[in-house]
Amino acid sequence: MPSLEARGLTKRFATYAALDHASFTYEGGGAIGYLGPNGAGKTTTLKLFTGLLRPTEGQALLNGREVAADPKAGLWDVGSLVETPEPYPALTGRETLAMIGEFRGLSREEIRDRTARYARELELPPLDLRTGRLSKGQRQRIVIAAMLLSEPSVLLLDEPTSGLDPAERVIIRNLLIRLKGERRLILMSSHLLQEVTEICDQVIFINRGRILLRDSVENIGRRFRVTALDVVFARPVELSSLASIRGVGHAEALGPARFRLDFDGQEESRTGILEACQRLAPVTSFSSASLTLEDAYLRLIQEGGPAR
Amino acid sequence: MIGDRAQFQTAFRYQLRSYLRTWRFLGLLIFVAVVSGAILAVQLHRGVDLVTANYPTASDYLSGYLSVLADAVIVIGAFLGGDALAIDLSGGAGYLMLSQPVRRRTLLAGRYVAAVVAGFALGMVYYLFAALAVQYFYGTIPVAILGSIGEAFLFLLAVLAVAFFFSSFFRNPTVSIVAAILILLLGFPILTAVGTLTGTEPWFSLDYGSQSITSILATNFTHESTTHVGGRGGLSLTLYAYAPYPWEGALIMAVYFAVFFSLSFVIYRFKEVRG
Repeated sequence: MPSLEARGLTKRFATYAALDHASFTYEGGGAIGYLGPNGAGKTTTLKLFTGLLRPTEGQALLNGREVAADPKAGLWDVGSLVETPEPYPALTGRETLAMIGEFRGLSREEIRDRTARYARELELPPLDLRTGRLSKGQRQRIVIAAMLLSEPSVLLLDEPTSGLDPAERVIIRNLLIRLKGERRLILMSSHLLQEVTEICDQVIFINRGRILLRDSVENIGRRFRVTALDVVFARPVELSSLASIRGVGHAEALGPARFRLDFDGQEESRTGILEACQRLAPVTSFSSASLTLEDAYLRLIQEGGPAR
Repeated sequence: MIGDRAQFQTAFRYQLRSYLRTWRFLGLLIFVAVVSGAILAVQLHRGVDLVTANYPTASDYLSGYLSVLADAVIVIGAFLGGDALAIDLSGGAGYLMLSQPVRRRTLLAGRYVAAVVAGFALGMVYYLFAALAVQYFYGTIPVAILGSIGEAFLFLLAVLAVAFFFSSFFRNPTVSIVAAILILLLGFPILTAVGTLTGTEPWFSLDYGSQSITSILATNFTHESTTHVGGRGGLSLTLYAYAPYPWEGALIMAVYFAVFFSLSFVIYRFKEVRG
């Protein structure tokens, strides 16, 4: 069963603690979103798990093996994508995949078959071109294929869709959803709450090197439920008439016919507010105000929740 | 889990392939061919009589021909080894390679041997020109050339170890290459010169050890000699000249190889990829 464990994992650079006694354990298949603002300690954590950094204190264990003590054993059944990995420019895409496959003990047939499979699934660029001649997105897809070639049970991903165009993002998102369904254990950092919501079951919030909250996406969603609505009318409406609607806590004009309404987040209130709006003027759009990661994160900080 | 030996072979094979594909290798090949070819061309222009008058034996001629080989080996070693590890430590490729289940010592060893093979092949081009020249002028190729090749091979090992050391130390591949060239091409000769001027045999300098590449060929080998300049009321100066015994040069180069290869191994093993 794949597993991932941080035991009091700490990384200090001089006196600055990039990661401060982080502890968590996950076993079995599933996807964990690792969320936090820039500089929170997400990449540091992933670098500690992949042996790119050495912990100042604590341990990072993958499948029960401590990475710092024995990187080869620890990383054997692990695929990773940390920061912006680049293939060697003098090698072709096919050679890059073959080299990684050989390092991981795959046979020539396995390398050939899996290369062909990922070439289709990830829409890889021509594999006989040297990678130095490919675009950033094309090189990243080759690196992702290299990561997946040995079909590792644990995947460590640092903003895996960063730098990709929308079509490439969809390819990677679908791939990750498929991998999660194959009982792989995925830890992925991201700034994109929407992406995390679609892929992950669990979420870890981190800031300033400390883990603030660990919970399921479902519980996080309940905790940070959307309590604002964006309404667009077919014609201008008085702000005061919206503020007086029952259930609306605060109304803000975003334009003559466009408003944001705060409410208690309950479904019944939402239905009542929609009906009241329709009585004022034809409604052309009625949607939940988007909740960004930053919004959720700021609210979490304001709550001052203890590390869990 | 696959063994270290198989992973070593993989590291070696792909590193060698990378070397052979780059413009750098082709540039070094042209560099070596131009340097050794130019020497041959000049001597062909001078003619057989003049050349054989300057060098009484084929071995002496060969010793003179190979006098710039050490500098060529330095350039070769610095360019092949200077970025071999730094390319990983600067990020990019390192994020892909150093997160693989491969011990860094395995990667280092595979890359080092690939650099040795590529560097030796380039060095042999120089020896090929030298052999052609000595055959043309003297009608024979001295057997001692094999000893010189052995000494040059040891020097290549040492130079690459120094270059790998800088490559493990610096995160910027260009800085690593430049540092290796500066130290090898300027630093060590200065060390040798200081020893020579003060009457101390510079056994501590790699540059001095490399002189065994040619001293092994000399027919009238002199380990130490002094020359007095001036006198008669004016300033007098004693100049010292040293040449390493072949075994001594080999030992100096072997020690440099062992020390710097070990240092590069330790640094690369523990170096973090911070990006």
